[in-house]
Amino acid sequence: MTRKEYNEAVELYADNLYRFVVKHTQNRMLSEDVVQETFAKVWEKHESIDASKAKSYLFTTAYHQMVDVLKKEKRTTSFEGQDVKQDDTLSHLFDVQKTLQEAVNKLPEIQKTVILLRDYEGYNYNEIAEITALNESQVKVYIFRARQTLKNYLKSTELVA
Amino acid sequence: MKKLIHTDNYESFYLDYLEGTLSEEERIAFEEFLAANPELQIDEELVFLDDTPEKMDPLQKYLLKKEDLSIVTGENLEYFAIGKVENVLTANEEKLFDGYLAKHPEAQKLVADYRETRLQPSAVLYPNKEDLKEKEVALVSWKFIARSAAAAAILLLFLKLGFNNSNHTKEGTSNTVAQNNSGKKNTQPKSEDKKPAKLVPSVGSIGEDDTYVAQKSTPKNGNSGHSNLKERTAPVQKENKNPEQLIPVQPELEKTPLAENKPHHPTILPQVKDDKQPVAPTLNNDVNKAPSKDLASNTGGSNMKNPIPLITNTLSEKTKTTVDFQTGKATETQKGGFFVKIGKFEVSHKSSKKK
Repeated sequence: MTRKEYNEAVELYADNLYRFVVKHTQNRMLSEDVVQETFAKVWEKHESIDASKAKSYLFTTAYHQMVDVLKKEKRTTSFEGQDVKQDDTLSHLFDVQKTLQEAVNKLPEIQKTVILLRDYEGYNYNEIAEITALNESQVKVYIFRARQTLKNYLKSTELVA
Repeated sequence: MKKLIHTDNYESFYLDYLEGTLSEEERIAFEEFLAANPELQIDEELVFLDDTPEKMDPLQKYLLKKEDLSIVTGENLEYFAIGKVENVLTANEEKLFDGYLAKHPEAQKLVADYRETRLQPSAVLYPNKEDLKEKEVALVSWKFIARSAAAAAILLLFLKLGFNNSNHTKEGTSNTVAQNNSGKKNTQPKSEDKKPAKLVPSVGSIGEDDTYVAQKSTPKNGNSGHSNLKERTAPVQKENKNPEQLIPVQPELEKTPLAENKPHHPTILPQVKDDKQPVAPTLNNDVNKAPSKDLASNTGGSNMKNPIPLITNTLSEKTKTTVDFQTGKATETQKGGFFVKIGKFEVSHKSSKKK
């Protein structure tokens, strides 16, 4: 990946990556750090990265970076700056989507990850499996379980007619 | 009862009692003991594991299966509904479920519910995207600049050669005259021996083969030359409507640094034995006698000649830099190739001898 391709990747994927992390962590400061660290790592290895696989590489790196950071955060302090709920961009969601976001936040970490990658980034099961180091069957199981949980949550709040 | 049951040994009796292995007499005695000591009674549910079979979630069960489902039931309905939303049903399953949906509107509601679980991407912008980018740093070495300049000069040289060549080609073979130049200002031939050579364009490409051949010829229009240098040099770069203006003429030696204290040879133009195949250049008598100021011509023993002396000499004068271009076709005895020199920059290529 050339410098130009790297900068194009920043332009194309930085927002998506940030959304993926911020939806997961509910922490903007933490998410910015994760994104910054992710791109720094990618730049370190940019010469050995195929530009066509930049997005997948970025999400894989971000996912593992996020998992590491979350582990550290849980060990040390509770989520400082857990400020996403005050974020205007998120408060403008429709009711169903807002409730759905709440439901997503209640999902187990791995289910949350696969659902975010599936719905926000449109990755297929195989791509999600590569990013999360799972196999395709596991991804399918997690997504199906997550869907079931989300549906039941929406049902319980009677937002689904 | 032979055996006395008391608080120190009742546990073993209790286990046998629970398992039903006590004799009738022992069972009656133990029940009497428990009745006398109710605090020692235990909940049997805590002792025996519940062996009631656990029922696995049907969805999980169907997810484990590796074969297409052939029928939609109430048990696997969720599998089909989520699979349809996720678009991961096989073609057969899709067809099967579509048929089921057509007959069961309540199932359509289930699919709609699952569609609601899809997250709609919302715009979340990374605040410092520009900071993530790696700034372009333009590092151009002087060597690169020097080489680029040299390459541009060579390109210019070849373009001029090509331009000159095309003009000659347009004129054909009848009126193009190569004129000898003995280094004097007046380039008009003095005698019949100094008849101009006719230029014949060849099929070879510039720089690889000789592109012109020299033949002795008398111009059809009878106009054999010009007396004024300006008249001869200027039109070469312009439209060569007048065939006589194509004549490459050596400029004045006094103005050319290269010409100082060096013998001058005229431009050597290759010739062909017939009108089609270009061969190694040969000199006509008039040309042989004339001196040359081209660098490569002075090396001796080579058939390399400058086909564009007018251009190279003009460039030398204008830039006050040594500019030379030599080209020659391989013969049986000598190698061919080309040689370009601009100032201190030299490029040459030699082709093998003709066999």
